Amino acid sequence: MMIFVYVLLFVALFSSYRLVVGPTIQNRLVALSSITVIIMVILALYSIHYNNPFFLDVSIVFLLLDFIGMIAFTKYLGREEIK
Amino acid sequence: MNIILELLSLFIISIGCVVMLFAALGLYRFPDIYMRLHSSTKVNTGGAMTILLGLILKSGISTLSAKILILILLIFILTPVVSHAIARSAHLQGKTPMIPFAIHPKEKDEYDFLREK
Repeated sequence: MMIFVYVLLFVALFSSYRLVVGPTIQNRLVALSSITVIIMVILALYSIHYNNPFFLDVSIVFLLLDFIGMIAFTKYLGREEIK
Repeated sequence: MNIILELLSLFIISIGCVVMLFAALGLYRFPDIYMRLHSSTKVNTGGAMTILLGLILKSGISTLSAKILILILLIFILTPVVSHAIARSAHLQGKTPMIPFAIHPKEKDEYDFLREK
């Protein structure tokens, strides 16, 4: 089970390239949303591996916080250049 | 029977890991914001749902699997909404798609107007 956690950590590191050098803010938001989903899956894997339901609650709250933050950020971005 | 379920869940989880690796590769390689959205968000959603399905098969029927089912439903609803909101903000900011025939013909004049500014 733990090898999947290491593979997913590598995937998160690999997609954080776009978070660092992305040309616009939208590219960074895509990378951030992708990393959030990956970390959520890692928390679910931990929760099954150690048979502990605590991490699953953390995972659900993490997804909802990501959703609220993304919606707020894109509302702010879309309002900028429209007249 | 138990060993068969265990092996099946490991197989499904490894398929999901490979799919998420492909999503990160598309996020790294594609040249445009719309192509990156097309590659990253849909494939990421599918991979995460596949991994969580494998975890349900591994844990059997318990409260853990019920919570994972809620998580699958939330991913299935919320992640495409986030993708749509990001694409809409890029469109409102006047980012043109890289492929010219991806622009709707009714909006072509509007894009030319934005490009001149």
